[in-house]
Amino acid sequence: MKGVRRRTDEPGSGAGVTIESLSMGYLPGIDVVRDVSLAVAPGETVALLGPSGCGKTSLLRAVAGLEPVRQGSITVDTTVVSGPGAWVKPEHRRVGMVFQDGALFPHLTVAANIAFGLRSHPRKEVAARVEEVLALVDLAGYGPRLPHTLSGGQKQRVALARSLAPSPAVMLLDEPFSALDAALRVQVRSEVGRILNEIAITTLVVTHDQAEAFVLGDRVAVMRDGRVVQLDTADGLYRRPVNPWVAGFVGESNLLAGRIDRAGCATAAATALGPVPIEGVPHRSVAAPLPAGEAVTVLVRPEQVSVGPVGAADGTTAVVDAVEYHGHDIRYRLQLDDGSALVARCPPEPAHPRGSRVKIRYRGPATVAWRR
Amino acid sequence: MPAHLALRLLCTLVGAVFAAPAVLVLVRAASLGTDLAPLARQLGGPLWRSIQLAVLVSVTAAGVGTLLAWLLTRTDLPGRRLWRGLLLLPLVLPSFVGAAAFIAGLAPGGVLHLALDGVGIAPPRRFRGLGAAWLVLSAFTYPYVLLPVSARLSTVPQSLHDSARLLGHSAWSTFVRVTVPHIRASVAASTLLVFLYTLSEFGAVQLVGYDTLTRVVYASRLVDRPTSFGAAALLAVLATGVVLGERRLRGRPRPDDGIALVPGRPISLGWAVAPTTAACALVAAIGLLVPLASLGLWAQRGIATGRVDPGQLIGPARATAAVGMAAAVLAVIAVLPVATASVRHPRPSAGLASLGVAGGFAVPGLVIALSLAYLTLNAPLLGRFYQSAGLLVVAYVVHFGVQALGPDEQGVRSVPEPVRESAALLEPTRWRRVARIDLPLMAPNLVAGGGLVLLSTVKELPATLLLSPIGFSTLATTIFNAYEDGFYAEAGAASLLLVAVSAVLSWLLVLRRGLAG
Repeated sequence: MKGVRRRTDEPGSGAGVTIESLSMGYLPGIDVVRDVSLAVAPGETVALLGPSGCGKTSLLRAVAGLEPVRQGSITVDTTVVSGPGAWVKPEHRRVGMVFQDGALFPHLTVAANIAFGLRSHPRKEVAARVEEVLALVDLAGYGPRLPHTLSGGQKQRVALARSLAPSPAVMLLDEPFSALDAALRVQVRSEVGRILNEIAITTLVVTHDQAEAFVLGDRVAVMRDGRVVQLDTADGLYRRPVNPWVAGFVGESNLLAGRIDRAGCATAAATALGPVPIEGVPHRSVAAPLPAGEAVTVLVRPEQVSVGPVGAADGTTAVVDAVEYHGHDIRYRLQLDDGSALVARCPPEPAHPRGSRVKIRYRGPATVAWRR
Repeated sequence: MPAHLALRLLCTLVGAVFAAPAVLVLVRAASLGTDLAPLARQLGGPLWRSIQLAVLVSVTAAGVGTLLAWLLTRTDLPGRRLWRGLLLLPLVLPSFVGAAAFIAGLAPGGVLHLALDGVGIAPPRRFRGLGAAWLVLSAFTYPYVLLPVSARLSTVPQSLHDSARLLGHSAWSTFVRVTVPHIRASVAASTLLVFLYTLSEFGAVQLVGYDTLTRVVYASRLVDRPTSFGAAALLAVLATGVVLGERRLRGRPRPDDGIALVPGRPISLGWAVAPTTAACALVAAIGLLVPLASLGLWAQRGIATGRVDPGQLIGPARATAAVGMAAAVLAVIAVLPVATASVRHPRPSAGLASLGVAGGFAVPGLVIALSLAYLTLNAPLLGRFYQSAGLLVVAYVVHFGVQALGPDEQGVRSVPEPVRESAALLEPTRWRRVARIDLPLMAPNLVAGGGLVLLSTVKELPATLLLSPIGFSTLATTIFNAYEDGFYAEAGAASLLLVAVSAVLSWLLVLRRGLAG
């Protein structure tokens, strides 16, 4: 077997992408991407996550060569494709891209869409290659169909097949699932994730959906106002966000006011929830060990709050303000005695009814805190 | 009788009435029974000239219109909004006025004559023949391509272009393989419309003396019936063929509708900005500035010397408004059953009826007029309608009714089933429901439909010429007769008034939307 399949035998093949001090913009004097540096290893998938207007799509389009850059450079493999005095046209970059709307050519069949990028292939091999990538996205036999007869999920898979067909060095996905409805999105997302893993192609995926970024990305770059705020694994982002904004963007969070209370070598913070263990020095925001007595904001994820009956031995008392039953867990909104509110997620045991008094406490490993 | 059955009958009747004049011409021509050989010899030349002109004009309009559409939607041409306005405006000039403006402009004392004299070029002595007809008709028909094609072009999603580039295609290859297929049907359909327009054209070809089928019909009228009906039948057959082709193209589904639109990055013209701007200026000059200047100069001269009394235009203007408004109201009412049936009960009968209504437009106005005149003279009881303003109004309704059909359908659609059902629950009296719910909701569309019909009647010439009662003149016939007689000053003033009315109506009904897009 040749083409995509061959790559499965050598994971980590393909080209790396290096973005160095990149700035770009559309209007004079206004940069939408500011001084971004990012290195994607061969075969790695990096998700660009951020709210709309943060510059993530612009960055992707710059890698594709669809937008010029103002400063800095983009290197694919060893070739500088955008940079001072360097410019490789989009059609010569060997970059594949899947757009939000699929962008299938409406007047061409699925097979002709896929063959669109195979101009330089020998004629005889084109049909075989089309069949091969169609089988890869699990759409064998769909070649003669026209795009408008396909469902949203099928369109996106054809779009993926079309951009994979010419064996690009790098794959770019621009909000590829946002046009799909919720249930389908989850399914197509897993499917695409499987394919990208299988062929181990270097991939950049843009999304504003935290779950999508976590599922697809080996690492996730969180962007805000044109800058990369944090580049980390999903776990790192979730458990050790660099600031409260990132904490809130990648998941639900309780931000509690606290004071550092040092007992021996373990650091903890005294909060309304009781004592919460704090990690040593995870980030530059807390470069020096926090001194005792320092006022901090403590990150407590909802699943790190345990809720027990009011008769429990230790903990803080609170009143259940609202209960949402989700099946896999129960989400409580709790009112503390000092008036502050807190969200907790618990395993689906018999629920504490609304209005009842409960005992709550922190449960889990050390978390992060930021100076206030 | 159930309501929908009555509606179907009514709708079939309307369709039949609209199709009748064309059918009558064909039947009459078929039953002429005279020796066909001399007739064929007589009509061969005009038929060839009609087709030749229509092909030349439609190809030119397609090229100019498509190129301008691309320039105005996809490139960074400076002042694109202004150009868009200027380059669509030739739409407001009826082509016979345009032809007249060129003739008057080249006559001694005309704008072009003076300008050419000024730079030391001998002005051409005459503005006649194929070249003149081609120039004039192309200059005033390319907007019919520009308008729909630029609308279509602005719906090409940017992501399609980007995808093609990333799949290894150059900008040019992307244009050929992505953009062109996207606009192909739109270009073809609008080109066929221009073909039809040129085929039906009478005023301009008459003024520049280019002998086409319409001229034959007009010249022989009811005097030489074999000739006029033969030519009219040829025109009707050609037109029907063209319209069927156009409907096929337009009727094709657009599976790509619904793709998210991302505003594209305009293509940089670079060094080509200057020649492109010059080309746009040339087109605007031929289609708009030169005709207006020519008309304006003659009108101003006439009024200044007292030879033209603007008060004389009040009569024709009033007549134009009267027949136009009557036709507009009647047309909106006449096609309403067809519109209702095709929206609420889309059966083959409704489709057939709307085809009949469209047929009234496809067939040249001159042919409709000829047929109606013949009918009133030969059918019992209809004799007193011959040479009456009423018959002219009927001709307008038959010819332009289809323009009210689309808006009427929109109007019917604006009162959806749930609204009608809840109205029925709240207001049991039927006429009150119509007055309080249906009419207010439909009003904007009905007015728009009527406006389109009015606009067309204002610009219409040949049917008006043929059917106007003695002593009854509209603005169009006043202008035409004045030019034929060489009274440029009077014709100039009347033309300016006509262009102004047409411009206001076009702005309100067509261009405002086209420019917004």
